[in-house]
This record gives sequence, C-alpha cells and structure tokens, in this order.
Amino acid sequence: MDMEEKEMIQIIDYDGLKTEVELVTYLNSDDDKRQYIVYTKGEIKGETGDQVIYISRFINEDGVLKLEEIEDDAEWVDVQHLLKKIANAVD
Amino acid sequence: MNSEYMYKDEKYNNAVKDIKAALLDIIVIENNKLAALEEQITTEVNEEKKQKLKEQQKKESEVLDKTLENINTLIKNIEVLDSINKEFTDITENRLGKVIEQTEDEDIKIAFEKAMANIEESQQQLSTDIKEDIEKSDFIQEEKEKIEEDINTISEGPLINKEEIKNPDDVEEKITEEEKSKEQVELVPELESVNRQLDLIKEQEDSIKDNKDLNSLEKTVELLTFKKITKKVTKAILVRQDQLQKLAASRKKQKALVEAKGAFAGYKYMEDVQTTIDNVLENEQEVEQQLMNQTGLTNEYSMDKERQIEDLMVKANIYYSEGETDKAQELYEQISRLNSEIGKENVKEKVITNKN
Repeated sequence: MDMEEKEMIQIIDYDGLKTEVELVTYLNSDDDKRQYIVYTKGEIKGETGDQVIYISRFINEDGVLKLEEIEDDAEWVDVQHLLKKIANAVD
Repeated sequence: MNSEYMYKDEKYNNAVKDIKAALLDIIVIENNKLAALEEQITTEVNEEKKQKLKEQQKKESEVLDKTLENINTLIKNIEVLDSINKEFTDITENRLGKVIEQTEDEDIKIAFEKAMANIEESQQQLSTDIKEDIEKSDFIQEEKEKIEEDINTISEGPLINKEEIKNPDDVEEKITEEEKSKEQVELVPELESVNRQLDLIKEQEDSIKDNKDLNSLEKTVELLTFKKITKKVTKAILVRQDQLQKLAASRKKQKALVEAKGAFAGYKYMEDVQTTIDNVLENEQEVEQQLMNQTGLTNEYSMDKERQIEDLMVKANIYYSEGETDKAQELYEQISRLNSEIGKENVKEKVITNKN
C-alpha cells in the first residue's frame, strides 16, 4: 500500500507472541454493535498480485483491546458486505 | 497505570483541563460565527448581498474544518505530553526513583539520571513545538495567551517534590537490607526495559528535530496493541490492489466512527512499560492504594467525565462534518453541561443552525 500513509499495529497472540502488522482499516457494523480491525501481513498471492487481509472483531475491556475471531456465518457475511461497500465504492 | 496516580500539583492538572476547555471554546466561537452568518442569510432580502454572505459562510466553514483538524491534533499532542510527564513523575517519585536513591551503585544512578535527562529534553521539545503550532494558528489572541500560559505550566511538569525525594530520610517505606539487595538485582534488567522505552523517546526527539512532524511522534509512541483471546483461526480474504487502496483510504473516517462508539475509551498505551516496572517493587499496588487513601484525590469521577467529553467531541465533529448540525448541537450542549459539572464555567452556550 503506497498511496496512504502506513499505520502499524501490534497483535499479541494467545501464546504471547507479538507481531507488528499493517492496519488497513476499521469496520463498524450497521447496527453499531460490533467493531472490527482489518489488517495485512503483506502476503501477496497469485499472478494478479492480490493481497491477503485479515479481519477480527475487537472489544475494549477496561482499556485493553481484545481480538475475537469471527465464527458465525451470518456475521461473516455481514463483514464481507461491509468490506465490499468500501472496496467497491465508485470514485 | 497513569489514572491511578495522584499528582500533588493541582495547578498542573488544572492546566491540562483548562487547555482542553479553551480549545473547545474556540470551536464554539467558530460555530457561533457560522450561526450568525446563517441568520443573516435567512433574513437578507437583497440577492446580491445574500450571495456574498453565502460565499463568506463557505469560507468560514472551511476555516472551521481546518480549526477542528488543528485542535484535534493539538489535543492529541497535549495528551502525549501529559502522558510523558506523568510517566516521568511516576518513575521518579513513586517507583524506581525511590529505589535509585537508595542504591549504592553509582553506574545505575548515572544511567538513570541520563535517561531522565533525555525525557526532560523530549518534554521541552514537544512543549516548544506545541507552542509554535498555537502561535501559527488562527486562534484569537486572547485564547492563544490563555493556552500558552497553560502550556508553560504543563511544560514544568507536575514534579514539585524533587527536594524531598533527594533526602532518603523522607521516604516513607522502610526498605530492609534484604529487600534492597533483591531490588538491586532486579533493577538492572528493569532499567534496561525503561532504557528501551527511553531510547524510543530519544528517537522520537530526533524525529522532531529533523522534521518537526508531531504526528509521526504520536504514531511512534502509540503503537495500538490488540490481544488475541482465542487460538481460533482469523478470517482472511484476498483483495485486489485497487480494493486494498480504497480500504486503506477509508481508514481515517472509519477510525473516527469507531472512536465515536467509544471503542478506544480508556485505552492504555505504553502498557508494556507499566507491566515491566510493576514487577520491580513488591506490594506496589498496596503502596499505591495507601497513597490514594492518604491524598484522598482519586478524582476518578472527574476523569470519567473528561473521557466522556472527549468521546462526545469526536461524535459531534463527525455529525457536523456530515451536515447533521442538530445532532451536533445536542452533543455540544451535553459537553457544556459536563464541563460545568467538573467546574468549568467558561464554555459558552452555542447556537447552531442548519449548515445550509
């Protein structure tokens, strides 16, 4: 990602391992009840140069930001819808 | 954790609050100008004059947008400076500072003093840069002077008991010989951890000297950290590069929306430093609680109100930029009430009519 200034975040996994990844954007569900982070580790796949992005839901518990994974199919459909709205927006 | 530390210098704490209130006042003043123009436009019958007023309104609106942006940046930088000050105080007055005074190892003392001197230099540089930004701004002179006075207070930091700390007899906790030698053994690795953080601050200071970009300082200090609470696999998808660009371009707006929902309320960065220092002294939380009880200055009520005010400000800014001035107006009124509740009477009543 060259045009926008990069923003790095830190993710601490379940075992305590810290990784710096590049934050792409945030998502806010239509009902305002859930917030997500979208990030990338810079992984490119295929000849077309498509990039892998990861999406997790986050919550704030006493000032600590915690990541939960999306498991519900309906929620995943909603998240993809949110992503498409932004990613396919006409300029 | 910064919020648990009681600062004896009320003047310092009031200066921080006053600056934020003054910056809010500036937004209110600019909003009132727009409101007055709107009223004139509504009542003007001469089409030519009406058109000129609309052009003036458009310019004022652009000024307000720029002012909001500058004020958001200023508030963030002031919070960074405030946090550095409190970390500095925390280290020197309540934690390592006391142990350092008691150690007999001169090398440790020298390293500690050098590290503290670096922090002080960063504080001064950040204060200078904030003052320059205010000087260059379009704020009215009266507001500029008020803010600059408060910045000077914050620059001095909340340290008023340096003399007391230098005299070990004044230290309340009696540290036994055994505890002293144990703490000295633990001190070196902990000092290394503090030095790592201080090196980070030194890098930021160099960055300031190079390009005076306070936004990059803020970003280096605030590496947002998230903790995974499960081992489950993260959902992932492939996107094209043009889609990725659009997602990245949406980040600022999306962040504002998420912030408005309070997603980052009370977020504590530099938590790693705190956790490391927390392991140095035994019974640290008990000491903190004793300090809190002795001073009786928990002030949690006031700090919750301030966090609410900040969240409301973000929401109000978003509503205003999206043209929902009625909703913005309601939130400004709520902010005004909260400010009054925590003792500020200088936030004026505001009237905003529809932007168009």
